[in-house]
Amino acid sequence: MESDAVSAREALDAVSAARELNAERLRRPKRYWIMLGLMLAVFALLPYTADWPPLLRYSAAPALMILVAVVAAWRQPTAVRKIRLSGRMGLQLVGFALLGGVVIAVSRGVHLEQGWWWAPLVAAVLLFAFVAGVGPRMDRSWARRASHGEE
Amino acid sequence: MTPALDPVIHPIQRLRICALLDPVTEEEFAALRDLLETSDSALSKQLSALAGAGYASQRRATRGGRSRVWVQLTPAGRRAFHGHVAALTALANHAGDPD
Repeated sequence: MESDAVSAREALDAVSAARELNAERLRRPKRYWIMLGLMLAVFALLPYTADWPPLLRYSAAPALMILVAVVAAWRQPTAVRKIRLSGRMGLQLVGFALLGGVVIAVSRGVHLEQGWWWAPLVAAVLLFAFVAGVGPRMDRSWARRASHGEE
Repeated sequence: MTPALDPVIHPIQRLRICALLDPVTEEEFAALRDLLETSDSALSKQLSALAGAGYASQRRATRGGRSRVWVQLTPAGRRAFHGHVAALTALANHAGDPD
């Protein structure tokens, strides 16, 4: 009986070690969040291109986003992590996306209606700071919760 | 009722495989091999045992001219793993009881 318990504890230690390894390896690298923040910042700056020729206006942002992605991924291992998202994590992700949408929409609104030229710039800086700052913390929390089977 | 130990998952290497696959939708075979610090053939053997019990599955995908094998726990495998860990916890705790 005692040897069964010892074996059980050894097995549980192995599971625990694998979970700690998961919590570490499932975190995305910081460059991923910097890339995402830069992409959102580019999106927030789009109102400044309103007076540009159509071809340039519609190609500049995608080209810049592709450039950001290529530079961030250049000779780096993949930043894709296939974590199983729980309902709570999904809600956080939706909240994250909604917040970004609201900030961009408000900045565009006041830029158009009030003529506040600096609004898209402030929105871009805020979004970048938020994503680059909060993203890694949220990701770390997700990796830990998923690794320990918490819903 | 105490959950029962699962003989398919009980070997420590299979238990580690299940623990590594549990929080992800799927994992690349090579990444799993590196994490476990084992060989391709040893990992294949353990995965075959898990697949034979319906606990794991594999798919092959080609991207950028490279063929990769992805491994995943099936829902039955995930349930079996959680049940096995519960049984291990009960066994470890029970032996610690004074009676």
